[in-house]
Amino acid sequence: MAEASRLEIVLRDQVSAGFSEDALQEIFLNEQKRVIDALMLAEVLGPLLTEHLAATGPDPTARAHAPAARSSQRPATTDRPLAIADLIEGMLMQERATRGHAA
Amino acid sequence: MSTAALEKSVEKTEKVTTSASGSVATATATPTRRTDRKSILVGFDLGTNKSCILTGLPGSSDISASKIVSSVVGYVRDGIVDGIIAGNASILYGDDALRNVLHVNLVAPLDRGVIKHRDAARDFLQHIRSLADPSGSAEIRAVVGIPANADEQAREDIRQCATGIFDRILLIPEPFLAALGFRDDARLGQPGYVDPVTNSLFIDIGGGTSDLCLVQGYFPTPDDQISIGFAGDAIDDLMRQDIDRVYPNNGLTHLRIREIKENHAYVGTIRKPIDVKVIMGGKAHTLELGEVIGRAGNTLIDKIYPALTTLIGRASSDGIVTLLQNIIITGGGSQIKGIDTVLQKKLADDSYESPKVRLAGQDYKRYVALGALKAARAARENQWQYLLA
Repeated sequence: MAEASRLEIVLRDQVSAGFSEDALQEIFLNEQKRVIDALMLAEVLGPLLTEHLAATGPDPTARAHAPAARSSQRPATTDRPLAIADLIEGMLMQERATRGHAA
Repeated sequence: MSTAALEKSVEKTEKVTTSASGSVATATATPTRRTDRKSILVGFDLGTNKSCILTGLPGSSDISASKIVSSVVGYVRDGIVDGIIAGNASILYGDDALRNVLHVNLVAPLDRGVIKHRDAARDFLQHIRSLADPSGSAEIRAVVGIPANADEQAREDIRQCATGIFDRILLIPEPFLAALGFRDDARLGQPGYVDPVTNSLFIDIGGGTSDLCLVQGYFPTPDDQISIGFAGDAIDDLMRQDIDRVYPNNGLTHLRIREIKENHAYVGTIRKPIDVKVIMGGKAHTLELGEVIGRAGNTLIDKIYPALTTLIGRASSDGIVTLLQNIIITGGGSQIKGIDTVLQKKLADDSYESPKVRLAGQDYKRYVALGALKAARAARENQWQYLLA
């Protein structure tokens, strides 16, 4: 967000005076929406692609996850009540890492 | 791209787990997957001898259905006269099958916690589905308990048997689910309450397996779990061997021996006499079975104790003293008289610091299913695995 604001300021300085403010605002809004959509897509597809790569071949991401499956590298514990969904995610990560090794 | 279009894109590309053997539970979702069908969440403890299901609706904390079903299918024998079997059913399940043992071929779908008879397993799962959703029209999302360290083949067997019966599935080890079910959500964060999911060791003694699991604030790794293929059924087998040796031609059925175990099982110092009345050849006899029962129970202790100390040795040293105060026995084996005190005494005698072993209590039959239902309620959309026929 800070970077986007900085770029907006730079662009406004460089755009000629004849360029309409409304048009400029519309461009910024469209680009902002495009970036947000891209971020959402990455958030959803990232785990799916990781799973697909783990299933179809050696996956550096899966190898990166593999150390977490070893008992010597347990995640840090916390005093807060644990979210069940996060625990399930931990289980699924272990499964993906195991399948990555098997593949 | 709008959010609605993004969701449709996710639907079409979402992929489910692929087993190590290469078989795929499902590939892509179809456009019909997201329908207006009602969803029912199922917490399912698929036990070797007894299964338990708890159901609920998404967004609700109520339990819609709670059933314990003997894990057995009875195929009605050919030639049975009409009217002998209620509704002239061709297949019976659970206690109905057991009550009609003379007229059916009984099949236990599972052995030591894993599927042994696929057709019977599918029939049994279909029955479970009908209990969860009598209308047959709802989308069923089931969290299924599996033995600790169940291998990929065992998991794939469950997925394949459940395909076309459950719509979405999550397989989670049973002792972890027991910890989740045992957790008192109302007391989380209260001073003095130790969340069992944060620091405990669960011993789930079922019919086919005894599963031990270290639960210390993260999802247990394979090293945190030990599954022993010695449990209730093995105790029955030992009792059978001893009874046949001491009382030849006793004619006791497997089910009768299990009943004797459930009524009289204990561990520790041999107790005598334990007189059990049985019918042999139509005549009543009294068998003294104190030593038979005690020997079988103590064999279970001999198997469990080394696994227990192994896991204690693997536990994080942070909080080990608290862990030793939170060793919990659940499952049918928790009903064995003296099992908590015997294990606690063994630990104390081996100089473990202030150990405390306790029983899960009267709800022991439901904790795995309860934990599974909690997991079903909490699971994120992308954590569910689709099952496509």
